[in-house]
Amino acid sequence: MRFGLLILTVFIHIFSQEGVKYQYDENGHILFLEVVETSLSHEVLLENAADLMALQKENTGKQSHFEKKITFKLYRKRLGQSPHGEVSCSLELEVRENRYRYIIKEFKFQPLSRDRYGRYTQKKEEPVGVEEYLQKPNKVWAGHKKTILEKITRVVEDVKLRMNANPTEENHEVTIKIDEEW
Amino acid sequence: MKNRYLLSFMAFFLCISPLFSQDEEDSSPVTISGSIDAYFRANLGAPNKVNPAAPGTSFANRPGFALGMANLVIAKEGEKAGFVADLVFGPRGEDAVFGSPLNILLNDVQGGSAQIVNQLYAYWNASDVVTFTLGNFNTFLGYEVISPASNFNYSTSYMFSYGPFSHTGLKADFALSDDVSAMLAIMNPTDMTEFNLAGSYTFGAQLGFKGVYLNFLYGDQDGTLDDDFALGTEDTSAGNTFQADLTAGWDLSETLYLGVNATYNTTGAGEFFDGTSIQDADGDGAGFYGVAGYLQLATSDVFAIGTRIEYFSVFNNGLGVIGLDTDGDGNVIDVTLTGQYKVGDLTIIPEFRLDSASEDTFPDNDSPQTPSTTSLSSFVLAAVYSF
Repeated sequence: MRFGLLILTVFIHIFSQEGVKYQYDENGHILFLEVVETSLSHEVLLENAADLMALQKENTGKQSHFEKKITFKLYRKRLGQSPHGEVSCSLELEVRENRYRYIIKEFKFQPLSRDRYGRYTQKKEEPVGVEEYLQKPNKVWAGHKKTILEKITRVVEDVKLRMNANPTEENHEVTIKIDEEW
Repeated sequence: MKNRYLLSFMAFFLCISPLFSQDEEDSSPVTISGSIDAYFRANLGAPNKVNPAAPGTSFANRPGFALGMANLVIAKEGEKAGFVADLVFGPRGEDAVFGSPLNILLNDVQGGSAQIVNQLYAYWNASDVVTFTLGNFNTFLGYEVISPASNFNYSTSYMFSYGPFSHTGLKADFALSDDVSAMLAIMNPTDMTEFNLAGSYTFGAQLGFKGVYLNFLYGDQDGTLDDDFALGTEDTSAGNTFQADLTAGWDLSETLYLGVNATYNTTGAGEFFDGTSIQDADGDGAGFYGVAGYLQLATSDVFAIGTRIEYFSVFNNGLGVIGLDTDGDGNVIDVTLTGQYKVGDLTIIPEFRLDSASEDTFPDNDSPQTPSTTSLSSFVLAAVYSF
């Protein structure tokens, strides 16, 4: 009985979570956007955002808009895995009092090819928007579509985890005293 | 003296290494890729039997239906470090690693697996700017490469065939900006890939700017004579080899591409043992030079046509691969017209080639055993599958 309740609880937890889904802007470009409410102050959120975006404190100043480029590789799965191309996109964070929002957009695909040393490097051609491939995906791109969503899901999870960190709680370390009377 | 240079070079690499931070390794997968190729080749108006006429260039020069190679590249491209194990099986692979197996000289055992190693190296991306590579890697000189999947023409140029194929050593690549790169290397003698038998080292350098690469190679390829070892009156040693090489490529439009390669290679007269002591040999250096243009037009997503026009000249008996005059000079022009038709990952390559030399170089049907004509026409149909 108790075991059944545990399984039920896990299922409810999993299905109640809103997963990351493909969203598109008015021009048909992929866009992941979410406003996240939090109890953390503007100042703490600024620090977390700067930390997440790997910016030095002196560079952040009072800015509340952060931006960085994310890249990851897509692999063909044939005999083994071989690199197919590199996806790049931009991650933007905007911070306000008790809330922030992330925007992930501008998804570009740059094909990779093997160079003379057997390493995969970018082909000379210009990167193109992944939307072109995802509209009517072939077998390879059907797999890539899932992979891109999985990667972005992990990015979003990381953003939420690190933006919700409260340094004051973390710094409050529990001290242990060796007591003679134990 | 040479060892002092070598140690200084190594010290340079080691001194700058700690300047770069160390981070955790990422989780990029081990990847497997490669290609296989096979072809049919026929001379037009020249023998196609044993000892067939063929241009004196590497690969794609066997008569009838023939095999290229199976190429298997196992790699891990981590953010901070990685490796490449590039293995070759088949006639093209044997020709590519012609210096192997060397190991049998030391352990006196035939066979082994050294002859399937085309490249074997590990690298460390010490920073965004610097990458160190240690091991056996294909050459940085020249326009064409060993893998048929990366060349447009299936047959190869003279400059590719007589330049280096591979090096074993330590190199540092510098990505100075998006457009500017540099490379410094210290290596075994060219194509001495398993270990260094000669005791001499070769230096390499490369400067890159917007897809134009200027390459240099300098070093003694066969070591020097040493009177601590028993010497005979026929013992000689060539001098230092110097090669300067330029490769470049430009997209002239969305469908038109132009590539260029020029090279100059010379080896000093060296030294000889006269029965009592080692003497410097008199005379000029010997070698070759050449220039080639590559023009390619993509007529659709699946078909492209291209040509290679190469002029190649040998001086002072620098190579015996074409007919030479009494001064030891000769030259050859090769014009190659190639089509590429892609069916998924398969590329079908029909190719016509004309080689025209300054001296008699090729046999013909009337005289199949001896070089009796200056030109040779041939046809190749190749299939290259990449995975």
